[in-house]
Amino acid sequence: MFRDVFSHELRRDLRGLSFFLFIGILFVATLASVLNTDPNNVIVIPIGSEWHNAPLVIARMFAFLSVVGILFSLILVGRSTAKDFDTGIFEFFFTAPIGKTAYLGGRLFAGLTANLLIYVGVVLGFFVGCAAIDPKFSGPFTFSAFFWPIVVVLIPNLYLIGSLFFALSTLTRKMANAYLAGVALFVVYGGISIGFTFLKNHTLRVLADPFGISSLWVFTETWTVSDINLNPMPINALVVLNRLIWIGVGSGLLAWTWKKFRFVSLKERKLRKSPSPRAPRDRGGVESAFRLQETVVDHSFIFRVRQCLHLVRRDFARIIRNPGFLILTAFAVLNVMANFLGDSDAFGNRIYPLTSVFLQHAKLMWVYAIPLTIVFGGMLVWSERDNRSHSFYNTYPLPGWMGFGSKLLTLISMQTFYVVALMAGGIFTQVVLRGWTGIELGLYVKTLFGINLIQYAHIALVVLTIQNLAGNKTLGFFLCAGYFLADLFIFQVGGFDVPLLRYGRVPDFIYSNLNGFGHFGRIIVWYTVYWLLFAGILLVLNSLLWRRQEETALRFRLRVARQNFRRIHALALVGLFLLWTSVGGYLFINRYVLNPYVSKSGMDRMHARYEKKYKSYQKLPQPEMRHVELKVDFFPEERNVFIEGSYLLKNASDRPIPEIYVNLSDRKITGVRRLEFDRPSKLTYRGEEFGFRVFALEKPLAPGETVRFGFSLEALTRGFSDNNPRNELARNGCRLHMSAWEANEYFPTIGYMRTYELVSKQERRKYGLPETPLLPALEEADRSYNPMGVSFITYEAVLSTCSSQTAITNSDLVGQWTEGGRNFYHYRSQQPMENEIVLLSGEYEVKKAGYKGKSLEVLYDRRHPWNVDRILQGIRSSLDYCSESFLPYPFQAVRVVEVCDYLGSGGARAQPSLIIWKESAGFITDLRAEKAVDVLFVGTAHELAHNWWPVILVPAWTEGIGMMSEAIAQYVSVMCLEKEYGQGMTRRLLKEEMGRYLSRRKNEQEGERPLLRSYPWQFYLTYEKSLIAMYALQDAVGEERVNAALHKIMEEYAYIRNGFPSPLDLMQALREVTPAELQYVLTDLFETITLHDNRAVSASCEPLDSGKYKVNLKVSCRKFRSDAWGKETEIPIRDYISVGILGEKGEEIYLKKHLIDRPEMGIEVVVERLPHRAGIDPFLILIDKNRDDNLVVVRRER
Amino acid sequence: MELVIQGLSKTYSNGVRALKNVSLNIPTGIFGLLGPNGAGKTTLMRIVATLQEPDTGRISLGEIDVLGQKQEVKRQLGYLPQEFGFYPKDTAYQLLDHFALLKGIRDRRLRLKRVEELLKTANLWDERKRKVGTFSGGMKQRLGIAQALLGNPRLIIVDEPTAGLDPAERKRFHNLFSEVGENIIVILSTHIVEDISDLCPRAAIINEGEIVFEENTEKAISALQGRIWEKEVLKSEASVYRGRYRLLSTRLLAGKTLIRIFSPQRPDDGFSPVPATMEDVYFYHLPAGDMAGGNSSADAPVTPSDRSLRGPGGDERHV
Repeated sequence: MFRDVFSHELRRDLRGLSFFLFIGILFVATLASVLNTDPNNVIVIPIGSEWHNAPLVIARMFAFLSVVGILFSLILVGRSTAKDFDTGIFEFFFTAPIGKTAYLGGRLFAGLTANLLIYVGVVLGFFVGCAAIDPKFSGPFTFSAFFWPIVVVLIPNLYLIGSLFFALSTLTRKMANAYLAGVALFVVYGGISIGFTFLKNHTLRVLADPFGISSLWVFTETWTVSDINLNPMPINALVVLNRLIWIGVGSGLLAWTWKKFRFVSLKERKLRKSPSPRAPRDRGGVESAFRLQETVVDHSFIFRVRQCLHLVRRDFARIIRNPGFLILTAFAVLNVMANFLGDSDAFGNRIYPLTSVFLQHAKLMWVYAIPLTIVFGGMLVWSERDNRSHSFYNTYPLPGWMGFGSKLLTLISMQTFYVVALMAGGIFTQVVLRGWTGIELGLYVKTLFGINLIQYAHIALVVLTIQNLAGNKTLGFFLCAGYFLADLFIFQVGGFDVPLLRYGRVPDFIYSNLNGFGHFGRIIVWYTVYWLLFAGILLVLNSLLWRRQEETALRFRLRVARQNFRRIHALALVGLFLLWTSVGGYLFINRYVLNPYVSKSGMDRMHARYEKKYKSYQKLPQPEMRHVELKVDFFPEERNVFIEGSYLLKNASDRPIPEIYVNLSDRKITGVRRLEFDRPSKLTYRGEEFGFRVFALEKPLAPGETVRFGFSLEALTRGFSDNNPRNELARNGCRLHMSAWEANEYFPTIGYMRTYELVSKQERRKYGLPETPLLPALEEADRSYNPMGVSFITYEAVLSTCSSQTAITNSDLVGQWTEGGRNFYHYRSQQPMENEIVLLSGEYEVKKAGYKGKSLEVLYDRRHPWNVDRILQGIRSSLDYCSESFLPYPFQAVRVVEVCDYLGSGGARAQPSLIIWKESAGFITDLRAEKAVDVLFVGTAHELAHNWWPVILVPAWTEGIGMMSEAIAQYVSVMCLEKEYGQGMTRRLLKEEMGRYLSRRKNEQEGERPLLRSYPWQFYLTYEKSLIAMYALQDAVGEERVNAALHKIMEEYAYIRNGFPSPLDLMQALREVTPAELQYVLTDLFETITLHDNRAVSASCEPLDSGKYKVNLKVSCRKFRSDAWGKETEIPIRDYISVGILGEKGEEIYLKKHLIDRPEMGIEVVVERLPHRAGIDPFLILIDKNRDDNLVVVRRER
Repeated sequence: MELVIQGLSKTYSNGVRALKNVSLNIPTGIFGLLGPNGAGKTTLMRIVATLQEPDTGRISLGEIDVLGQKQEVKRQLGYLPQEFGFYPKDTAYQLLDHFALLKGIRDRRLRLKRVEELLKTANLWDERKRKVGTFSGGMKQRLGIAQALLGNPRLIIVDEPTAGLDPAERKRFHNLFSEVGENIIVILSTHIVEDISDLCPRAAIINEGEIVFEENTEKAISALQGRIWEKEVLKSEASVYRGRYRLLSTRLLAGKTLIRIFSPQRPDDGFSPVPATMEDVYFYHLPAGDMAGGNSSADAPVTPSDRSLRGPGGDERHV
């Protein structure tokens, strides 16, 4: 019997159109991701530099597509019995001689089999894709690479998903419940990928994941590209346990279904339960109390509104009692609370629970809001039709707007409930869980209701419009999903940057705790008005087209709409349209006319043209900047700035210079009043690209001669634009940069600008630019000049700003006065400094401290006072360390300033004498926890060290350039940390850094390089690995020796303008101070990629008669060299590695370096006290992928 | 007031011609619409109830153009669809109150009073607190009828209102509607002939989208008086008579087959005269193909053997 049902069912499935459609979808999805070679585009799953058919890639593809396949499972498995109920055919089945087991089992397993078979599309996708792409992206195909993912990931997932749908649709006999469960599953998946970030416990994360996806990431965290290519997917005890748990859950559901299922129709069962209706008492006598009588009825508009609200109340009460809605909402609230609560910085430190931080998390909760709106929107529109009461409503004298309007209001009420729940979750977390009282109710309301809810309401309108026009509910659901996918693909992925055409969207904005919504406020308000007007038009049209008949054809609905069309509709439509287009015109003028518009690709093209047209000028000598004078007047309220200044330029070359090239982009500068040299010259060329200009000097600038270049500019804010929002000119937090390392938008620059060149390989290829290495090899570096235009200048500036603000720039404050209600500040450098200048204006609290004759100042927002002292401590520590180790600090003051989150990446940034910290990167970090890594201290110490490296010592432009700046700044910060907080803190930091280094290696696009040859944008090398390597270096050869070498380099090259030092010089200096037997350390850490696998095999101890203990330790120490893609080769070992023995409480009993010259060694040590644990490299100084096997518990003999 | 239907035609997109040039004049009172399944009754009623759009034709209700002024029609309309449901979690009381509010009865006390009256009228008062999801078909039907009476209907359209009612309930319904129908227009569609003969002074028979008969029911019956004959035959003989006479219906009575024929003269072969009924009128006006078979299959208008007797006389009328 089972076999009959099964084969009949399966044959029917395999003939169905949807079966082939699903195969096609899976095939295309797989093919597209296999063919994609741009790692920035993530199609289905992220694929980096590894083979596109690597076992792990195949496993992830199956895992992810089994989640996408929830949709397919709904149709193939969920509908397998539900279709019998839908069509009513079940009554025939129930009366046929089929057993329950055969019926259910046949249906289920036929569905599951069909569901599994569609994944042949994935296999085909891999084969076709790998045959089509460049062979370097694909490796050999193996049977096991497909076998294990299918058995371990795909089949259990399909079984679990299928069981759930089957159980729900069979027992409740409603597909709607299965649909809801489908949405819930998607949400769970979303939770796993974005929401469960707070689950830091790997075991829990792996086990709790019903799809087994987490394990594919957790256990491969330290895998390199080469590991991914060669290793099979990770299968271990936890993975097996996870699969068993979830197969068990699926089986439980099925067993329950089997037990509960009865071959009766639901109605009968219900009736049996409830008392059967009593027979009418009377015999139908002729008496009848009823008379038709005149009743007062009210058709006034006011009563219509009441009726409408009545409908809303009724529908809303139904949604609010729907368990699906409540569960999803509760899930969303828990999700946002957990994310908010678990929010931490890169070092695992908590963030103060500011309202703005919560709102960042709440913003992501559209993930739940959209599915909720789609599901319940569809339900609402069709509910009367579904329970077949629509004919009543359609013959009642209700206007069309009431039908549509009440549904829309209901859906918005649901969303309001959702938003209020989120808000309650936020406040609860703040007050109860974090004991925080600084709740900004106004900000909550503005953001959640003024921005998020309105956005949701637009979504509701879209959903209802689609359902109103769609022929049936299922089609409506698909169209809704299609709409949001299209929206995502066109605007987000496709980068189609026209917010005027993206319905309901307010352009992205940044909320700053310093500046509030700031200049984004106007953008938000106007776009909101714009879309609300359009929503009004949609509302009128929908009301007219609201389905009020049995007719489904659109022509009939149009006919009825015409009949109902009144003057008021015409007036409303015309009025709304005129207002909408007027506001649109206003937005258009602001975006495209008042502010120059450049698209992202337009900008890229401009960069490419710049390089193509002007690259040849790079070879011609240009004068160097020697002195800069600025007069900058900030008008923060108007967001205007006036810039006057001059550069003193010197011809440092040995040839006369006839032409000087000046760049001045007009994207931010709105007016150029003056741009001239102090000797006769002529503007002979002006290009479109970043305002490239050529000035021909009447008399060429002779070698050694100087010329003064003066300018007077203004940057005025006109209107508003999200494309060019001028974040630099914020009402509270103006910030202008003049830097050799990045493109300057507010100041003219001299010579061809390397910073305008496109960096990414893909972009360079796209615009036909040569793929030359961006940094020359160490051996080919030109030490005589810096192509970025870095030089040493003296600096003088007079800044002014409004009375409530302080204006800050680099160097020392020499004068300060008030004039005409404005604050003036005069800054001047006593010593030459690198030409890195920042100019700031904002409302600040100042905390000053004197220290060894220097003035230390922290300028911060009065609401963020928590970490100011830590910053001061960091300055003191770093100032001491660097002054003692390198050279005296060259300025009178150190200033640390809190700035808005608007610009650039990273947290803090150093300029001469001045450090800026972005508000969210440090000032709001909660460091009160006992184990917190003091990031403010570390960061400040790091940034201050940049005042020596590279502010005093500028390195040559070459690969490995980070060795001369970031590596040493990292070194200073970790040494300061150790002095201040002790080794325990350092070890925690090292552990974090090593984890990050190891997990980020696989993201490498160009191949990992040794530190000495690393590129500055390989952050996991210049920051994480640098810190590990520098710490290991001083651990091996000693801090004094390292500092002596650094001091020597600093002495030799400070303020050098010609013959810059390269990392090779640093290496030479380090080799000189390193003893012969430790030279290998430098090779391991800087010149190669070296990894260790240290393991304590066993340890035992026996008490000696002297009261001491003899410890016998067996260790395994292996050493590997890795290539650029993580392929490791073992090399012989002859290293000095720490052997450690720890007591009961983890205290050090013994820590000493031993020479390890064999991979397996026994070590014997006598210690004073009873040992508890013993091991090799116990504090993880060396880079080691297996970091939890370095210590073992000491066994006691006898 | 009079409902005037002129030249109404409707063809569905699948090609089915549901109405072919239908014209009717319906005065105050109960008007019966009789016809086999698929004849176009429901389409016609839905069009009058503003739920569907005809291809051609005009309808007026007094001064109101029904097709153009739907809102005005709805203000005077009570409608019971053939197929309907309710939100199953409402109680009968909640539901009627809800409907009363939507019909425009603002005053709360008045609304409660009307709802109470209607619940009693529909014999649902004792069940008022029960969820309608648990109602039987007949109870649901009564609730549907009750809602059609809310407000100030001048035109009540009830599509197969007696389907699913037991005999006692149907009797109540007849009593109720004979009163309701005194001053307003009630259009009642049914395929139960008895509903028509009990309730409707006027009726029309519709078949395949065409009105094949429209007449005062009493007149129609008397026109056939004295021309209806009945005979008990063997089941196998029935077809023989079909060729020989105008066979109206056959039915089973205690295991025997009774045939009924129309014949202006007295036929031989042992036929005996019987009084004409509305059922005879119905079958007389339907084309022969639609005639009932010998059993009570889904298609045949099943008639309970509770016939009212009418006097003889009257003319035969051919349409």
